[in-house]
Amino acid sequence: MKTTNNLNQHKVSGSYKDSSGHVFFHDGIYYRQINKAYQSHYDRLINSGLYEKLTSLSLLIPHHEVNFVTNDLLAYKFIKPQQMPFISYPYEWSFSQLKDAALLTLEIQKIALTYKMILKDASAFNIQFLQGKPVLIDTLSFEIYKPGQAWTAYKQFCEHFLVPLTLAVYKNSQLLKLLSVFIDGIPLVLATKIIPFHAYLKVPLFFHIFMHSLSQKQFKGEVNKATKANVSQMGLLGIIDNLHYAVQSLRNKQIKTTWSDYYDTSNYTKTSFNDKKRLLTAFLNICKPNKILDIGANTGEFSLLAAKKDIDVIAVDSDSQVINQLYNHCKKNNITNVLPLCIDITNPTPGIGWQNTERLSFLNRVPKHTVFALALIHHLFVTYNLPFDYLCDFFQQISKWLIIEFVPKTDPQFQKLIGLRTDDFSNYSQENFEKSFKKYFTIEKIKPIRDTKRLLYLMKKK
Amino acid sequence: MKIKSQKKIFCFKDLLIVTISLLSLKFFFAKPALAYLDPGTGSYVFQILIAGILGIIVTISAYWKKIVIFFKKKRKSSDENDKQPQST
Repeated sequence: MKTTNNLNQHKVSGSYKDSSGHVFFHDGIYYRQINKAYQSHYDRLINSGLYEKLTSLSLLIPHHEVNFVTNDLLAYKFIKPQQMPFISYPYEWSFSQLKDAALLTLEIQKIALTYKMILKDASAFNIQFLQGKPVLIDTLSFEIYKPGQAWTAYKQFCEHFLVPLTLAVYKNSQLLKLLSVFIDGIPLVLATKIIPFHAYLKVPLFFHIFMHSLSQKQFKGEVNKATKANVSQMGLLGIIDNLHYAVQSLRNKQIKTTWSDYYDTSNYTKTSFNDKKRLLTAFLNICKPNKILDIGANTGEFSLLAAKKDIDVIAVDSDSQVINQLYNHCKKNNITNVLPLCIDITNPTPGIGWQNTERLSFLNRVPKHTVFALALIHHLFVTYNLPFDYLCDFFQQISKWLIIEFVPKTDPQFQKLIGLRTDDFSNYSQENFEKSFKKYFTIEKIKPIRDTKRLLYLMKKK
Repeated sequence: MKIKSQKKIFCFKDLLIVTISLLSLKFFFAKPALAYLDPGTGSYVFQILIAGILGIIVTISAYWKKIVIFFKKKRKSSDENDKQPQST
């Protein structure tokens, strides 16, 4: 039995909204406290067989009950959920990731209703990606279904899932990032101003977005009408089924972006590409990582190479289209150890919400192990004017080992980047690059990539 | 005597009945989860408006699926019956 009286001191900053319980961090492990107020609902979840059903289908995170001695009078039980290797947020996901998370929420809702329970919230933040698949991590999301009740989380589901997915399809997938501005979901009133009218030719979108938004205006503050609400279970199932159809029918259009055909149009020959892979494999054999952060991963050619060696990879790129491609590739080929995320490393996810700590920044969450920075630094140097000193300072914060590619000025890709700019980039040289990075790293290996003037470095943090 | 009869009102049997009924009430009226989420009055009322039509659709589609499965099974069994004499 673990003894601690100040569990609240270790409370996770984002876990304050639901009075059913909260998450806390103790001795390097995340636990969840269940409050007495939630007792009957938790007991129903466990005793009805719903928990077993959902965990056996890998839809809900499994847990086991643990004992803590606490002076918190609200506490009923403590559970230790399976630990998540990395927490990602909905505004870091690509279209297909958010769509799969939405479908998971609805599937859970359908199953829960057959056990006379219902989801009391439908937050996209309650879903995480574990071994390539979405999973519900909030065990306290269920409540006992009372016949006649409407779905409390209907609005939340629409604003967290349906609206961003619709915006991505009918406007631009970059609009998924709006979820970071509107932490509680993109308001329907705003969405109806952006979504083009032809989207409503799809009846479910007309219902759940357009008419829903009108209803919000029409019945604002009419609490009496809402309390008299009586929705039959069949009616509720009808709503869930229709939402499922709405989400399922939204398909991402594959748009050609700057990076979506990078490997086809860049100047890699087959020989140089294979040689780069060979060198990477050799470097991985030296540093033997168990986690890799691949920055500027594109469609994940090199992330997949590492994944084949049973290394967990977080592959980030600013282009949501290439991240979507990588996610779909992993899903199709059952690759479970790559987590693709839409993150622009020049403007990584900031901490947001209450006191900027409700949702943590990317750099706060990122595993500090081995980093791939392949064909990346010339972009950062030229396009973003980031000096080598800034770059090495950044990489030393997030890596123990660094596998970095140096692209010389003579490289055609470098010339393409310069475009019409008149700077001579005199500071951009192999000598200056090494001089800066040597401040924080020891250079373990330097290997030229065949058929190119590029160099691949293996560096170890001092 | 009067006092005695008054005392009888609180006998063990009565108390047991009251306790059992209170306990059974607990099952009928399960404590609501402390709803921290505002469902929004408009969103809540809207569900009543659409539940009827969507409920009918989901019921029809469920029956339709059953009908389709029934005919598929019938067709399959008749196909198998047709095949059997050929194989013998």
